[in-house]
Amino acid sequence: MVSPAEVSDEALMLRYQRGDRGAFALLIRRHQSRVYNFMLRQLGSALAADEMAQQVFLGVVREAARFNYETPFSTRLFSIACSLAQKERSRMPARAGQDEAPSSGVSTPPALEESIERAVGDLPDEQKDVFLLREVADLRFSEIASITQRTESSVKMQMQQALQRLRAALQQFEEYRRALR
Amino acid sequence: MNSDKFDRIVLDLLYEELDELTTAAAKRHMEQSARAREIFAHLKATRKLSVLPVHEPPPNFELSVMDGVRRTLAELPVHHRLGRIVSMLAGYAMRPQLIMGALLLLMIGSSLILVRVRPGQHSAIQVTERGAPEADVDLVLPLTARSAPDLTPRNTERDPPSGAVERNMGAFITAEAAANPAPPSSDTAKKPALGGAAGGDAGADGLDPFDQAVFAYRAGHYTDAQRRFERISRLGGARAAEAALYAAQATRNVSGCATAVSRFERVRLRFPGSGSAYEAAWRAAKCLQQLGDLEAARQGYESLLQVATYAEQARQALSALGDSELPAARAAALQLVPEEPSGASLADALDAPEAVPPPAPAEAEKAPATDRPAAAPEEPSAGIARGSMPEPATPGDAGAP
Repeated sequence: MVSPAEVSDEALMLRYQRGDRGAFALLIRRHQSRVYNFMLRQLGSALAADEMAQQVFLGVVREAARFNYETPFSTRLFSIACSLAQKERSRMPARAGQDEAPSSGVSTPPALEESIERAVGDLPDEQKDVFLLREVADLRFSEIASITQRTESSVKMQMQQALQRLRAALQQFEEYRRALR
Repeated sequence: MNSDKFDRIVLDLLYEELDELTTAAAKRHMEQSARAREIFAHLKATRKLSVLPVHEPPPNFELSVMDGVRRTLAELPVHHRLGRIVSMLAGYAMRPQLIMGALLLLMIGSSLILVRVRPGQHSAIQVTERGAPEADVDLVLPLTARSAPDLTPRNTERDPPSGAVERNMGAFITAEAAANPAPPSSDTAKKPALGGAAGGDAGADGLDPFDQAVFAYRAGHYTDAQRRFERISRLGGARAAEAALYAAQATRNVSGCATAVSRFERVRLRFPGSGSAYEAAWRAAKCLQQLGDLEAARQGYESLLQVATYAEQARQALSALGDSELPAARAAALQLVPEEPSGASLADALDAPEAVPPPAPAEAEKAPATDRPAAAPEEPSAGIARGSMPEPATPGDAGAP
């Protein structure tokens, strides 16, 4: 007997296509944190992130009948998330940054944390998409290339440029110098 | 590995997406190249510090999404709903258990269709029963027919059946014809001629009904002969008892002993005291013996010990049954009882052999235990010789009377 934790996302999606809503609830529990944080970093608003993260899962429901099992579920999920984030950014650009992100409780000093979040927020959209898909969504570069519909080398270049921008923002901190040693 | 190739794979090295071989080559390159070491160190430090804090989604996030799912499904267009239903059904249809179940049902259904009826065949098997119709059987030997006028003299008839042992049916017929002029009764006179025997035997034309029936019997047309004899028996008359006995024997030839036993018993009960009744009792006992009902057969044989013409045969039959020791009372009765008791007493004796009262000594003296010719011309069974009727071993080979 396979425990629910061992069932793949694709198998759960197949169950949901057969009418098992519990399987979709399990998919939500597995991916809600990553989708929510992705949206939170994309939009900079907890309220908007909550709303858009729900829309991401509802997008999965709408496209459930056309779900392609050759594509990993996470790729399809964040493809929807990335598309929705781009639409939301273009629709309400002034909204980003209005709401403060909730405190995380991480032991990183506020200045460093604030600098990191600001540096990520200031990244160009293409670099931000690639960086968040890699760091928050934990997707491989090949999957990111599939989501952003670019080549893998182009994705890696965007990622390298994003890391260089962040490095520039982090170099002033002692933590960075210690990490170099 | 050179610097260009290292620059292309450095991100894969940072996020550990390289295979072991390339990873080892990249590490060897970094050991030799300070530039490569510096690039990788800065990327590693940047990645280490640029980890974004993880925020938990709102507590009711899952419930909100599930509510949204319900609303979304309710708002889906018809073709999307149909697609979803088809997808669900297809998902169930692809389950191996369902496929195996459907295959099993298909096999069972096709087997039922193929096995049940072939094209052009009837759905039910038609069988033909050889024998008399049930309606006729019921009319053949009604027990209430004892009150028939022509039976009354038989009950008081004291003459035994003919003692002449005739071993074939022709002799039996001859003896019957000689002993019984067979005056035509009013009933039989009114009846039309029965026509030839079954099978279009022209030689039976012109004979009286009884002879026609005998003709059919001898020709092996037992069913037809049985029907004819039953009609004759039903009509009554001088040869009713013989006809009834013939009909019973024809039944045995057609259907076997199991059916014939009751016919023989009816003859015995309907014409008590007659030669036909004794012959019927003898044949009934033999049938019972063949059927394995030895106790009933023994009783039948014992009832015949009192009849002189059957006593020896009955004794032998009892010996064959393993009852060599005859009761002393029966042995004494054999010496005292006339050859043929009254019909009523014989019927009672057959029903309850142990309760047979011994006949009067005067009658025993008047009727010595020897074969005597028939004295009553109206007694149809007077000429019946014991065992004179043909007895095929099985109904199937009963063709030779």
